[in-house]
Amino acid sequence: MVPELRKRHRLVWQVGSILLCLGFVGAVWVLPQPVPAGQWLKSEPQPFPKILARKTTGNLSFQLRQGNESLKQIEITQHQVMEQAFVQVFCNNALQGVLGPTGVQRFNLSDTLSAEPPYLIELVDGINHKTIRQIVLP
Amino acid sequence: MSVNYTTVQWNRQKRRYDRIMLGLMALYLLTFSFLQLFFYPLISPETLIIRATGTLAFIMLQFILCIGPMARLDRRFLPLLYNRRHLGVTTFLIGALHGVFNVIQFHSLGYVDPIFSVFASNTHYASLQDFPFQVLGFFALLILFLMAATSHDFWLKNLSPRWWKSLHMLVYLAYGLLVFHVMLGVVQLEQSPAWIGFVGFGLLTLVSLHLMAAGVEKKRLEDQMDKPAVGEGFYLVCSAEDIPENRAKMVFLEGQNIAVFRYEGKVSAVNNICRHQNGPIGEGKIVNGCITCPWHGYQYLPNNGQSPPPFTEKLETYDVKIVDGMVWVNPQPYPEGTERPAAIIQA
Repeated sequence: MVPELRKRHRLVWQVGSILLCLGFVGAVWVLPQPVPAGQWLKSEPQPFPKILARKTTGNLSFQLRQGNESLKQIEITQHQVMEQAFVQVFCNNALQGVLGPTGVQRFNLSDTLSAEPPYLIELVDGINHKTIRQIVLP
Repeated sequence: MSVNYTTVQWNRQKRRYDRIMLGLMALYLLTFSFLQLFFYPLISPETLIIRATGTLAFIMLQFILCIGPMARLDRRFLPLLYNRRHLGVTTFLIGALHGVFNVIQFHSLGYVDPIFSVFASNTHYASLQDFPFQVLGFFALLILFLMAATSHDFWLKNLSPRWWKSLHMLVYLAYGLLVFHVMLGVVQLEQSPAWIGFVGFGLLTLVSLHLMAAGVEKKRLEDQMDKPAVGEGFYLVCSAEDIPENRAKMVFLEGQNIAVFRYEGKVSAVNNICRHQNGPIGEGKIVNGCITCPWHGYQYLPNNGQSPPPFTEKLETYDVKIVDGMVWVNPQPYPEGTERPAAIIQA
């Protein structure tokens, strides 16, 4: 390689490494909080004992469960794989997590959310930002 | 190297290289698919293909970009460089498969053109968190396509090595786009520490390797810079003993990049830039009497800089003399392919 080209390579990597590292940190910085459930290598929460409500729409079943101290849990069962690759789950406009490809997923609601029935459950196509399912659990 | 253009100039090394490459790719795809099916038993075939090809293409590009600095830091990695373009074209094909399946799965069911949908389905261009990451992948794939399409020596010859190399340096931009394609895409959507670790480790490795190689190269170039001339325009290079047999010492004198080779008790000097892809001739060695470029095996005779017949590539040559065991070079170049007498090393 000619020295001029080597110099250009060096410059590209000196500038590029700074930009790439800044961008990487920025992308991690803007990750939505709290980290949602239903991800790879993350264990599924145990089901709360009491079932308060149950609804089925299309290939999805929803259950509202209650644990000790009035904490609530949303359980979603997929009977078929969703067409959308990334489906975000919102409860009363608060992001709860991402719907994975496994059959049953549970999302534990926070103290505040648990105390605010009814629960508007929305499934949003995370790529196209479109609401694909909306149900209310009492 | 060849006299006429052929689709692929197959030889034993290239076949072996490609077989190993394809074997490792198949192993990765099988392992990845097995793990996906284990963790996500309901995963659809389309999603499995998208994930498998996407991760494979990213890993391959990462590896390709590591080859250059690794070969500069340690010559034992040079064989990886030899057939890198096959690796590059294969990376594009795998990436294209990922892109096509994505467009079919996410953009082909609407009422707008699927490619238009890639740009228009998510318009949060001002948001880092919701940025339409698929657009980044689209442009990265476009760059990889340009590189794959011009990877043949026909384009190298017609665009000239300088422009060809400049075009192919766009791969760094493609890599940057892909890092953000992943970081603003799957990482934002799934937030898995595994993805963050996967990208972060690769990025750190690549940046470290390139910066280390750049530092080593800079020091090497400084060591090769002008040394004082003594009479008749000759510059002192080194002791003849300092040049290993069939290897070269590289020097940079009066703007000339020169490789001084020692072989069969003689010393000759030729221009250090290969006519194929501007490879560093001096980092190669003499094989069967011919200087052999370490990048792609282009060959030249040390005494006249000509490729052995029927090849036509030629290098500039320089006058060399040995006085008291010390090698002196005159950086005034002779026209390409000019025969110059080799300096004899006295026993």
